[in-house]
Amino acid sequence: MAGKGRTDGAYRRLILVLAVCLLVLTLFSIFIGRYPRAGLSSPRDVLGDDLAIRLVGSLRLPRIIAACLLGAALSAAGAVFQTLFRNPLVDSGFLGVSQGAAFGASLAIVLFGGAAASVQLGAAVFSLVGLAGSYIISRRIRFGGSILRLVLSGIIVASLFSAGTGILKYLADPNKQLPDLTFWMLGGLWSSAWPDVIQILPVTLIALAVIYLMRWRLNLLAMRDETAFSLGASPRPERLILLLAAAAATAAVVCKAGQVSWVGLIIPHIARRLAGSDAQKTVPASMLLGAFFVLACDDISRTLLSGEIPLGILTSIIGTIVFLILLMKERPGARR
Amino acid sequence: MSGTSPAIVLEGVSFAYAPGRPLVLREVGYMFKAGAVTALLGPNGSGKTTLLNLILGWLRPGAGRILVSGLSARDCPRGERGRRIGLVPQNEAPAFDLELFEYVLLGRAPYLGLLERPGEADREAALAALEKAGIAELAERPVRALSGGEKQLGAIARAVAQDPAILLLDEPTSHLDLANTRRVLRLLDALRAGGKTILLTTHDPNTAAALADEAVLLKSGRVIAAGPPAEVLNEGDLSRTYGVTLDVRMIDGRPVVLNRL
Repeated sequence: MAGKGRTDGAYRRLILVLAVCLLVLTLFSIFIGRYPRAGLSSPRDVLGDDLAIRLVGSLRLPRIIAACLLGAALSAAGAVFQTLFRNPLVDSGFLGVSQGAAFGASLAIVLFGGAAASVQLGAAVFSLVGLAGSYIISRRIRFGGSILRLVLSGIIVASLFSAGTGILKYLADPNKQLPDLTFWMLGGLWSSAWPDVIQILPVTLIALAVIYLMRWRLNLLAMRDETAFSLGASPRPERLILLLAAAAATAAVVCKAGQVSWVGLIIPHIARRLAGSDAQKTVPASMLLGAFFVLACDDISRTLLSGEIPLGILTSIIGTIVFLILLMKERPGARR
Repeated sequence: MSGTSPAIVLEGVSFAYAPGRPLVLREVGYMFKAGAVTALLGPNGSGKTTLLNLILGWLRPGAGRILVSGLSARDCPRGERGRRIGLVPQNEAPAFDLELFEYVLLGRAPYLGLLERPGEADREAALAALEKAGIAELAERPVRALSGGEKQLGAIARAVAQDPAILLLDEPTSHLDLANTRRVLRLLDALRAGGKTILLTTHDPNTAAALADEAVLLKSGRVIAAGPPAEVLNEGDLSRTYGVTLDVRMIDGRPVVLNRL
């Protein structure tokens, strides 16, 4: 028992460290930006400036919350997808959720000229269509176990949506619509104000709560169908609950933020390296790490240049570099 | 555990994986004794694993019925299932590098609700199961890094933590060396002494003869012979089951099957 106590202690310390890091970064983020000056402003400068206070209250704060939600949701969803599909290279791109969102947003841009509400609605609706399509097709595939069937049908649906998005790109007006479309694909939080945060908050929080509460059961549902069944689970409906939660969380944040790639893929990897493979530990670590990572990237995105750097580009660049370093470093900080 | 009433009753069980596909099991009828070890033998594709999955309730018979402790799978309350029957599948590995302890802890799932996580009592049960299997010192090792024998003992330890009345094991000793085979057989013997009903499939008649109280020979989905191993594992029935001529010698009152070129 002593041995298990020690590793649990290590896990608790890790969660504490991650939570403190996130809190500190959040505080920093309030004072980081292009106003009153580029980069980090002193709290006194901000508090002594009415415009800065209003800017922080109505733009920076909601954007910080949106970044945390985006990171936590994508990472938690990635952890769910990777565990359930028993595949470390899977994220919400599987099951057609991200591609569905991209297609929906493109469709709205091409058909309705890209009003923000129509783009978000299109993304939300089609990400759920992607999930539903993957699920329905998987039930008709007569091949492999239920997990393999979902992966296969997810690839089919994702590819169909990608092709559809390609067609829309081809049809789009190259002067007005194509730039909008491309920009949406790059992802970003520049339009996040309180109403946006409040819109996505309920769905995201409920979905994250479901994933958080069922995190131990994820281990069980990652087992083969018969094994999970023999341990008293109903593998298919229980997996569906978790997949729906993961897809809903993804859809909610992606419809506001566009395609922010790599987060759902690498954050669960890093979380597993730090916290171990028990989903009971991977899921909370992923949520905290994801929030931290996206918030940090978004801070850079809105601060580094006078114009925005699309968030999706930053998460991809920083994410891949961090991932590469982690892979090349031998067993960094992980208990083995 | 009453020694007299059967733990599992099969009545005219037939099964095919899809309508129109060939029958995997044909009108199988058998009563599995409670508190005993029964070995299912038969060539590849004879329906052994299918039979285990039917008894588990994962598959539904096309015809006939299966009663486990007097109840059909449909009548068994959902939460009860995992406490009634446990399964140790063949060659099982968790998807990610779960530590052995975390893996064995999964055996506690039948005692936990959808949103519950294992508590101190579950952890103690998992640790006791590891000790019973003699692999407590491996608790913090990733399951993937274990040897074949250690993995198999780990899978059985998971079933021990689950503590079901009936334990189904699919090929628990294939791919194991002689020493590990003995460790597994001794563990199963100890579980039988603790009152468990055990049903295992095996390709090795000598394993069946060493451990089982009953042996059942399956061929093409039919029961060819069933009864105590000393009677069932005879040259005629075994040769008929596997379709090759086999020699059987009795050594110390136990049949020993010899293969030849």
